[in-house]
Amino acid sequence: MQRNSQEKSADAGAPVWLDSQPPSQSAIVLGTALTGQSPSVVSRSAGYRMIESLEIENFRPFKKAELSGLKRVNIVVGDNSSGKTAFLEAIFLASASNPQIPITLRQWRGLEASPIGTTTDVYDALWNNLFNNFDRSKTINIAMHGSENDSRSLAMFFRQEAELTLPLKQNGGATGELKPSTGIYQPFVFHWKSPATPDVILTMRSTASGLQVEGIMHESSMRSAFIPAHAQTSNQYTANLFSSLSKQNKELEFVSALKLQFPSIQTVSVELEAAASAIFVSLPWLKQKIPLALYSNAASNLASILLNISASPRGIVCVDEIENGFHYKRHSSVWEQIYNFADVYETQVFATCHSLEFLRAGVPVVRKNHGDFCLIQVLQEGGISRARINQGLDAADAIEHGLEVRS
Amino acid sequence: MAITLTEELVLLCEGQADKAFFTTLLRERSAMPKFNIPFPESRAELEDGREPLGGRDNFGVMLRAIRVPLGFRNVKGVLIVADSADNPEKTFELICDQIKMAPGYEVPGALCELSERTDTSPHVGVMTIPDESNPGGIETVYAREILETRDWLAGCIKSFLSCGEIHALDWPPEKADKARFHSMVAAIYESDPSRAASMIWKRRGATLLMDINAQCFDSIEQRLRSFASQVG
Repeated sequence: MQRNSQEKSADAGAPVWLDSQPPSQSAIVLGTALTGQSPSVVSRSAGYRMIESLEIENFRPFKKAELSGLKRVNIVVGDNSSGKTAFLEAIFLASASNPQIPITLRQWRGLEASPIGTTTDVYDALWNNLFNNFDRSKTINIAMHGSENDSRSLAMFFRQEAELTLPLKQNGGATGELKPSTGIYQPFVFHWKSPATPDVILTMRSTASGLQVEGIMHESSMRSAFIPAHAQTSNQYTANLFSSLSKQNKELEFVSALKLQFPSIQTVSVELEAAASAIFVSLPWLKQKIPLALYSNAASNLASILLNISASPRGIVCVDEIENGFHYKRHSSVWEQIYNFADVYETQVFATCHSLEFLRAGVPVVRKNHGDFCLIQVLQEGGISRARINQGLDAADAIEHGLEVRS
Repeated sequence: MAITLTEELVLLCEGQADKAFFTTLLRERSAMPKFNIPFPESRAELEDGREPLGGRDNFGVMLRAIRVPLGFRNVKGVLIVADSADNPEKTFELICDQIKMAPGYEVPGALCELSERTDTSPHVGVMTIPDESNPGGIETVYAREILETRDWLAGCIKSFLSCGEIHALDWPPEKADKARFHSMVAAIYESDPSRAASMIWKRRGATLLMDINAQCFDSIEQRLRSFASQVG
C-alpha cells in the first residue's frame, strides 16, 4: 500500500489514503468515492420520513441493541466510552451507501486513515474494530425501520470463504521505498438493502495498487450527515451547503436564525479567499467581511448544524457533542433553532450530549414538543453497550426535577 | 448537581423536610435498608422564584421522572411516603390517582400493601405519616418527640395556639400539628428559633432538638424495614 503526502495531511476534507485510480463501472477507488467531503459528510437522496426503530448487532461495543419509538430529535447520553458515538456511527453507516465512511469515521476519531504497517495489518485495522469484540467471524447488522413502511439495513462482514494470498506492498520505512510482501486477507463486504433502491453490495479488495471497491454504488435512499465532535468543520463544505440553499432562494431562514443568535452579524455570504470558498459575515465594527469561523466557533458550529439539517430534508443528521462551543445563555435558543429546522425540513436529528446545563436548557422546548423528542441512554457494562429510550416528557420531568439522566 | 439514583429501593417523599428525616433515620439507625430518596422539586420553579408545588400532587410526575435514571438499574421497590393529612385513606386514594398518571406502574390495593412487580413496574407501596390510622404529618411525630422530654411544654403551646384571636388548634390536624411544632421550635430552640423542618437534623455545632433514636420514630423504622423485606 502506498502512502503519499496527501495522506499525511490533517485535512479530513481530502481523505486520500490510497492510490488514485480512475473509477470504472465495477471498481471505485476509495478517496474518489466522495468528493469534497468534510467532517460532515452528506449522502444524497430523498423519500425517507423518519426512522422509528433501530437494531444494531455486533457493531463496536453493541452486541445487540434494539430501540423503538425514535423521534424527530433524539438526544443520546451516557458516560465516556459508553458507546454514544458508535451509536451515531451505526446510524450514519446504515443510512449512506458509501464504503468510505468507516475510513472517514477513523479520521474523526483521530486515527490514521491509512495505518502504517504491513498491508494485512493495515487492511485488518480498517475493518476489525467495527466488530463487537473484534469478532470478525460474525456479521454486523444495522437495521432501521421507518415510517411509511420504509426500511433500510446494512450488513458488513468478511467473506469467510474467500481467503486469498496476494502479493502486496508495504511501506519500506524512512526512505519510503516500497518492498514486496505477501498477506492473507478476506474481502470485506458492505451490503445495503432498501426497498427504495436496488441492493448495494460492495466488496473491498486489497490490491497491489491499493484498496479497491468492487460493485456498483447507487445513491442512498436517505440523506444523511455526520458532524463529529472533534474535527473542525470544513469551511468550504458549509459554504457549499449555504450556496446550495441560496441558489434555491431558501437561505433567508438560515440567515435569520444566525442573526437571531448573533445579532452583530449584518450580512452572510459565500466568498472566495485563497482559492477556497467559505461563509463570510459582515460586522458593524469591521471594514471587511470575515470568515464566520473567525468570528465565532459557536456561530460556525450552529451554521454547520443548521445547514446540514436543511441539506438533509427527510433524512438524518448526526451530531456528536451538540453542546460544543455554545455559551450557556444561548443554549435555550440553540435548542429552539435546531428543533425548528428539524421540524421544517423533516430532518431527524441524533445528537450526543454530555452537558447537564445544555439538557436543562432544552426542557422548555422538549416539554412544548414532547412528542418529537426522546432521550437515549447508552450504558456500557463489561464491554457491552446497551441503549434505552425514554420519552421526551419523562426525560424533561427527570431533568426538571434534578435527577441524573446521563446514566 | 443532579441526583443519582443507584439503590434497588426508592423512597419517594413529599419534600426536603421529609427527605432530611428519612436520610437521618436510615443513616443513624443500625442495619437499615438502603433507599434513594428523591422528591418533587421543580428547578424551573425554584429558579423563577415560584413556590414549588412539590408534595403529593407531583408523585405522578416523579414516578415518570425516576424511570429515566433508573432505567438500567434493577429497581425492586418504590415506597411512596406522604403525610396522612386529614385522612390517611383519602390521601391514599389521591396517591393512587397519581400512580395511575404514570403509565406502567402498578397500583397497590391498600396502604402498606405492595403492588405486583411486573416488567414495567417495580413493587409499589404507599405509607403515610404519622401512621395509616391517624391524620397529621411528620410534624405530628416531631411534636410528639419534643414533648417526650418536655411535657411541661404541652400546656404552654396549647395556651399560645388558642390565645386571643389565635385558633390554630381548630385547624385541620396536619396544619395544627405544623403550628404546634414550629411554636415549640421558636420557644425552646435557642440555637435557631426559626429552624425549618428541612434543617432540623442538621447539626452545624448546635445540639439537635430531637433524638432520631427516640421511640416515637420506631414505627416508621419498622414500616421501612417491612417494605424492604417484603420486596425481597
